[in-house]
Amino acid sequence: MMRQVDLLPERYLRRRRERRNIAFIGLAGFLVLLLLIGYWVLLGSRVNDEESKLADAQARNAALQSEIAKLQVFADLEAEVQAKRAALVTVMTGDLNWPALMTELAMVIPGEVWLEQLNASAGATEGSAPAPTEANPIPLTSKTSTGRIQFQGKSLSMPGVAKWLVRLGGVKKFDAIWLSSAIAADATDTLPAIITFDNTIQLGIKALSNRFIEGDELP
Amino acid sequence: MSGRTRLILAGVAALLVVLLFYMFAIRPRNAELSDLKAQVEQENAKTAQLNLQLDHLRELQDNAPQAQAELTRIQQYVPKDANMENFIFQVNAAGAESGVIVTGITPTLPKAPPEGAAVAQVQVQIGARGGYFAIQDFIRRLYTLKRALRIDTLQLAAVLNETTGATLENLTISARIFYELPEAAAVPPVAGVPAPGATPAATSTPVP
Repeated sequence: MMRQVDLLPERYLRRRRERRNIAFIGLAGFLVLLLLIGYWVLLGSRVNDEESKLADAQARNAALQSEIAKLQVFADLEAEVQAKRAALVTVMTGDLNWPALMTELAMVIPGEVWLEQLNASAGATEGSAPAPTEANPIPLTSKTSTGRIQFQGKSLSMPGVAKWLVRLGGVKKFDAIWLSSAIAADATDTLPAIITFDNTIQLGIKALSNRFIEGDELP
Repeated sequence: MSGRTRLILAGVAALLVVLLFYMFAIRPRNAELSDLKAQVEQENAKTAQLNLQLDHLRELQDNAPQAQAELTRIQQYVPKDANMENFIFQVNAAGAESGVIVTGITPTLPKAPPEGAAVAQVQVQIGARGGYFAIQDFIRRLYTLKRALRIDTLQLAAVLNETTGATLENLTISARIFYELPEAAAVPPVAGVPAPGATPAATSTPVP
């Protein structure tokens, strides 16, 4: 078997190796560049896709906005209804159920008692005068006062006045029942002493009418 | 130049070309793509929002007859103007139906309500005379008028009918009725609903 002998000097071999290495580096660089160019082209295609998607979305939104503009009149109607309803609810908040209160009074007044004067007012409305119990440093009730009634009346007896106060206390709409005075007139031989009394009550949350406030439907 | 240096220079040159290409071609395009994707996402989100808005508006469109009917109902209770003449008819009819004599209707000039709502209020003193239960019925009828009416103060005083000898009640109420705030009027400041027992505004804005 013959042995292969390289007769070229060592430097030639080294140069050839160097040239080959440089060629490898150049080729590798070229390949990487080629890959990058490919990626760049791919990116370009994706950019085009996204531009197309964006244009579609913008066109769709413009169409939606145009349709919304056409239907805006219904939103305006709804807003008007809401605003007017809210205004109505606001002014009617704190309104008292006067017919029900008058019924309660008629039901609890004892037979020997009659009223001569009744002054009532709601909340803190114009013309209302708080009952003395509302401004007292020691409150008679922890419940919120929605109004008050001041009574002036007469009774055939002191127990009649007490009965009146007891019965007022039995009504859930009434709080802080307070007697301001109960004074007996001089009795005569023929007539018994008539008691003139003055008392106040505060009205509770249950006395509110809640008209226009409860539920969605107007009365 | 040695072979090794040439090799390094070739490597650096190749790297530089790749780097420059990345910096000036790929990176800007990548940024452009990200930007576009963000814009598309934003537009899609806007589409979803607009669709929701459109659905809501379509629902409102479907409910428009009911809304219109409710507006008409509210305008019965709070009409476009004070409409005092109609109110007098209503009160008088309520009085006649309940058997009381309406002795007076005294309105004051309109002003803004102390509650701060965007309506004009007319305070009306109403006087009536009748029996206790007739008066109660009268008040009940006032509450069922097709006009929002709120009674703030109520006074009852017993009086003796000289001719019949029967005891009657003299009723005096201070009520408020409302109408739509005229466009020329200044809208009062929006305020929360005062809690029962809260102090009302000391003065109210006059309404033209």
